[in-house]
Amino acid sequence: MTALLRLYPAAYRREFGDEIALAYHEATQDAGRPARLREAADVAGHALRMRLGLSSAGRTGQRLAALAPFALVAVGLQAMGWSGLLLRTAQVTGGPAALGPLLLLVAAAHLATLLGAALALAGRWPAGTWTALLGLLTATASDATRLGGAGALAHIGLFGTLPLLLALSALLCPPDLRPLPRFRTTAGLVAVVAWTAVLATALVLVPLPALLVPLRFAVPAVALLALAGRPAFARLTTAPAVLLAGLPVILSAVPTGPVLAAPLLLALAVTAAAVPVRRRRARRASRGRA
Amino acid sequence: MNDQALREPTLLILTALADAPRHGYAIAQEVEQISQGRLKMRTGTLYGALERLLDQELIAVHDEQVVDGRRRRSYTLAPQGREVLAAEAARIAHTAQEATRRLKLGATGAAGATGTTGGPVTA
Repeated sequence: MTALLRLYPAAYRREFGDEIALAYHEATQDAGRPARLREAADVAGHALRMRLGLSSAGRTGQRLAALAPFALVAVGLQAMGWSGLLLRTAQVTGGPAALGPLLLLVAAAHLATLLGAALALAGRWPAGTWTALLGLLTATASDATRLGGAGALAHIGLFGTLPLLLALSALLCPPDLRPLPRFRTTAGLVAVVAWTAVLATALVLVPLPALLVPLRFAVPAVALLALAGRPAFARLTTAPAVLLAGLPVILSAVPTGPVLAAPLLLALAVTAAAVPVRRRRARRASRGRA
Repeated sequence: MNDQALREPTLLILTALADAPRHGYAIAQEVEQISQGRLKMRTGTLYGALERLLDQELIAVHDEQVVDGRRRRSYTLAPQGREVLAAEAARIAHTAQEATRRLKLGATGAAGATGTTGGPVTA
């Protein structure tokens, strides 16, 4: 436990260290090894958030919690875009074998990332965010191995950094401020993951006329945003929060062409501008009632 | 506080402190019991939440003891926390009452439609 406590910043350790040690001791005294490991991982996660200034008591942690569901939506959409691109290439060039093992691994890793994002938004936040992050890391490592040298660096810099940062931010979201689970039963969660896989495969592999290609972005975007749910939107109370939540999601639409991305960007700008006006009106109305 | 419903961990911690002051591990045990085992608050998560609730003045430190040579504080509901919890409890009770009322109305309607009492609703 002493080693775990050392992970905390000194000031916090002085304030809460004794209590955390006692609570940890009481929680683990009759517990088995897996339970002790889970408890230790939770304490280490809390200490890391304290070190990074991301505790749920701080504004940064609270903002991160508000943005986390949208970060996962963006991660899922970008992963879907990449796996779709690779699988369609395989379809055109004569089957999965034409891609080669590394590109197939990249496609599978992106698909796992999408399923991880859906799982997290549906209610299994730690399992889902870890799956999404590990999927992204696998895809990035495979791409780096395939491209090698400067090509790998350029690829990671251009396409890998943002999704990795978004997945990390979702993982670091303070646990007590995570979104409420949308589905509590295992059957519900399995259904969400299964339908995500079916929908993603259908959207990727069924040939679409040019006019309907934006559906490959729009359908999963609506589905993932619906999973994030109304409470996630209710927490975006400032214009910067709306912009920060919306931009990565809309950036995922860019590969589908400007037909979709341009109006979405305009809609985002208008929504962000409307938020402070709406807030002022709500404040005036509540003052009027009081 | 915003006007959203309280998050479940917050609601459960405030509920755990509603009847008596408690220390960290006792709060975690109460939370698990109140949520019927659905939510287990691990030590790191619990102290993250306690620090936030102290900061928001929803809870306060009640007293401090020394156990096994270590300092241990117990926490209690602050006046603002009591107010927030009471408002949330009233909101939940109102929803539950309304749900019960409508279920009764639905059951009566269904019984009338099928000619039995408590029978299944048929479309």
